[in-house]
Amino acid sequence: MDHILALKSEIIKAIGQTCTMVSISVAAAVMIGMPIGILLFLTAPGHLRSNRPVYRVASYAVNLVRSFPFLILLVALIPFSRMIVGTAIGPLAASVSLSVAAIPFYARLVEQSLREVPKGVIEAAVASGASMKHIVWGVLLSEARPGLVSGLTVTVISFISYSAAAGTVGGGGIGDLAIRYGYQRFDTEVMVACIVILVVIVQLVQWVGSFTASRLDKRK
Amino acid sequence: MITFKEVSKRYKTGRQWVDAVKPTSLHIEKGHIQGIIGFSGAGKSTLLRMANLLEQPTAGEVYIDGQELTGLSTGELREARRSIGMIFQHYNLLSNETCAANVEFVLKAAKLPSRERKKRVEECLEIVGLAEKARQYPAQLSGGQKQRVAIARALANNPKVLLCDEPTSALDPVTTLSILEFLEKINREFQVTIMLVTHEIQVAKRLCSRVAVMENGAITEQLDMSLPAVKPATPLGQFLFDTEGEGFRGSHPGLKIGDY
Ligand SMILES: Nc1ncnc2c1ncn2[C@@H]1O[C@H](COP(=O)(O)OP(=O)(O)OP(=O)(O)O)[C@@H](O)[C@H]1O
Ligand SMILES: [Mg+2]
Repeated sequence: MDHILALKSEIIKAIGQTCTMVSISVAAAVMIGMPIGILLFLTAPGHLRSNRPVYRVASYAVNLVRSFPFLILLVALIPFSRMIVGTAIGPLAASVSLSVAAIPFYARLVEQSLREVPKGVIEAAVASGASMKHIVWGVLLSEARPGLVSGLTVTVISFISYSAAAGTVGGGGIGDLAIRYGYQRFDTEVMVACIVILVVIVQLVQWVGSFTASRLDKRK
Repeated sequence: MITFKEVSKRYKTGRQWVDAVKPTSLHIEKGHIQGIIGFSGAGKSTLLRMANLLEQPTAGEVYIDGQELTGLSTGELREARRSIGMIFQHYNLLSNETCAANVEFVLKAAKLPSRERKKRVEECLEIVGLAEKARQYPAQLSGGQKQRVAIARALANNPKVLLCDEPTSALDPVTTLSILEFLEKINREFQVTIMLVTHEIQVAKRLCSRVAVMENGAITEQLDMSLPAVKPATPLGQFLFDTEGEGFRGSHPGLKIGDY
């Protein structure tokens, strides 16, 4: 226990790094991934702005990035990270790769949730003469709210775990701490402490996510 | 008020072409309630949905109040659709919004200022007798009440025309009657021309001033319901009118059920 307390500041720093990486990548997922998800939904065959070439390109790009094992993506993007944040190591650099992975991840989840909006409801809005912008905000995003929040919860949790791999580029974070002490130095105590922290964070995120999603869902 | 001029709709399913609506003309006078009756797959919904271009006709023209919809730009069509209300069998309300917000949606679509919107929402819910449900969500209402909210929404922008696709098919007979009374009231008080698709002859008899019988993508006859005795000429028309009350025990010479 004393041993863990001695590492207190390091653990707190690691939690901060995890938060930085997860926040940045999830923010990117929402700000860029969500519009891409909407684009995928609207341009899909038989949908509101159905456009085969645009859908194909967007869909292919999303699949391409998603098929990379994250570690390989991380390494492959080192030059790109250096270009964007000026360095290839540290939490910020890792956030670049994490964001690149999070964007298509959430885009697909957004597309899925939008597909769950009943066609008739969209049609009623079209029949009322609503503009496309109004339909996107007032029908699609509003009706898909619970699914969008659940998708976001899944994204946050997945990227807490992805961020552990960021240690490879010195990204730090709580997962990296567990690997460095627990796996590489056989320091079981620190590893267990890190895992407990991760478990608590993940449970908390899931609880908040599920609670919010059910509060937003008025279907029942 | 509503004119279909040689409209047709052809779908491609896989390698096959389906003529959902064969070249059809129909004129609906202002203030009338035009019923479209026929069996499943006859093309009733397809025809109705061409009235506001939810389905783009393969050929032909659609006019609403003298305006040719088929020639309009996207923006002009949006504008025109604001004066065409529509209700559906499954209501199609926004489930995450309150009844009031559902009605307000179409007023926002018409860019009405906020103050007037609130007032109009109240008026419309009042018309359908649901003012006290304004803050409730659709899931908290019965089927009949949901359809009334949908009617309030369809009325909000003072439409000239109301399109109804089987609005009572998911409702019990008593609720059906109450919905029909609201539609009648709307037709009478606000001079809204109604086009209503149904497969229930009682609905058509109760409400419509004209009934078109549709079969295999074509209107086979148009019946004037204001006449003292309605005498259908086609086997299907006779079947629909004569067997009322007998349910499906009734049959009619000349109509081969195997055809459907
Ligand atoms: N989007 C579509 N793609 C292909 N075929 C279609 C499509 N919509 C309708 N059809 C076909 O067109 C025909 C007419 O369909 P429509 O929905 O207009 O019939 P309906 O008279 O409204 O029937 P119901 O009483 O079952 O609603 C049917 O054969 C149907 O299979
Ligand atoms: Mg139909």
